[in-house]
Amino acid sequence: MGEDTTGRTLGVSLVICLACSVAVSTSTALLRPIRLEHERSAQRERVRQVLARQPGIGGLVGDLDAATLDEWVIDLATGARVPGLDPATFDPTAAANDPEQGRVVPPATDLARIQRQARRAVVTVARRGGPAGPVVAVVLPVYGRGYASLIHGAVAVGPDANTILGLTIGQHGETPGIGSEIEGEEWRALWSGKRIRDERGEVGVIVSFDAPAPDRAAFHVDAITGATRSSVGVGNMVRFWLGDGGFGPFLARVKRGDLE
Amino acid sequence: MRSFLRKLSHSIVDDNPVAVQLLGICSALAVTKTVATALVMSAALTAVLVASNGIISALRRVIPHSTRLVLQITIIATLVIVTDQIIAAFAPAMSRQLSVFVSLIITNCIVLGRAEAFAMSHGVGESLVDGLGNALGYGLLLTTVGAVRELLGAGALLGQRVLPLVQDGGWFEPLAILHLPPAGFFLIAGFVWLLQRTRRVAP
Repeated sequence: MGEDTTGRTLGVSLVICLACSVAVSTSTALLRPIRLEHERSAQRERVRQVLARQPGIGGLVGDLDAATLDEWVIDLATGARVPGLDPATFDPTAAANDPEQGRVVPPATDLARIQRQARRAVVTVARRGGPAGPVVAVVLPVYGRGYASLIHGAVAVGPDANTILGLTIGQHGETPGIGSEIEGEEWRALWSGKRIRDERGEVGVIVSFDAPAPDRAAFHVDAITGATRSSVGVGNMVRFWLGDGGFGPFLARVKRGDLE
Repeated sequence: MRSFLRKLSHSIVDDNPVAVQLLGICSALAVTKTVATALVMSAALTAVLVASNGIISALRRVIPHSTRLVLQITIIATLVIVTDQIIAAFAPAMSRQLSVFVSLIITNCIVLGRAEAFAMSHGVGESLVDGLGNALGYGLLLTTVGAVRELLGAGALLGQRVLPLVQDGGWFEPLAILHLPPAGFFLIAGFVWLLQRTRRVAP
């Protein structure tokens, strides 16, 4: 063992740490394409699941393979489809952080606590039968902060643009066994059939512990005991993304049947 | 060759990291519900432990005494992150099941324990054998516990139905307790007892 002078100690430590960080960065960079591909197919799988499980569109279950699932890039502010953009290469995280493609979410309306959001998003439009068939659902990507992490999910909304058909949770880092219950089927089932906007046109759907007034039951999802912040976080992100700062304009178009 | 095998079996049985050294119990409780997770976890730990023992042993004359623990952990953390990424890339479903436990290999006392107690004072060859032996010892215990828990808790092995369940018209009623974390405790305690009775080793 050489003599441990301060300089030598610092030098050796620095070299080892540098070598380690290079190793981690290299493996991250090399494996990223594979991981992104998995994430994309997982997202597609989630979209299929959220559609397949819904009793309301039960007819779709059997012929989900025959159904048309179109991925569109849409502009959030207008809700209109942005032609010429490939959904497969759209990266919402990068877009949110880009000064041109992203915007700051005003703190007062930032229910999802995401600070920045992309101006565009990829939605899935599900049609029964061929490409000209009736729209049976739209699946919207949502994300927001829970207790320990950013939670990613997808919400399926019916053709009336006001009924939640289902919710799936994808990537998240909530506490395993506690917060991770948000991805459990039991809790997610509570979401199916919930109404989005109330008679005043405000987003009414909410996750909370309080028993709802009888006329609000259609908007109420019970929070998970022991996972308050995770489940309320999911509620808030759904509220945000279905509201005017999120997919509101797009859902208005869905309701009007004005999609193309 | 014989001494290699003797060293290996010493690490696997007489000095089993989990049952004798009582290291790495946390993950042994958590990922032993099924054989498959236990196997992948063991493979991940084997990769990390052998590599970390080898690298740390190779660097043992270079690593400054005062920052050695920090550097050992840095090297171990690097190996664990890379392993975790490889599992996430090539076995995403398994990676989801193992959730945080692969990253928790960083804090698995077997890895740092063997680095500090063995690799820092032995040659690369010996350290590799020591790493392999300890990892196999961990893997053997983990897989055995996983097998018992999956067999009696779910009537299956590696996801294949072995015992016909009552609910499917068979005769086997799964023991729910084996599906819960305490079962890991019971079984590991059983192994500790067994090894101490039969091998007369000091705990």
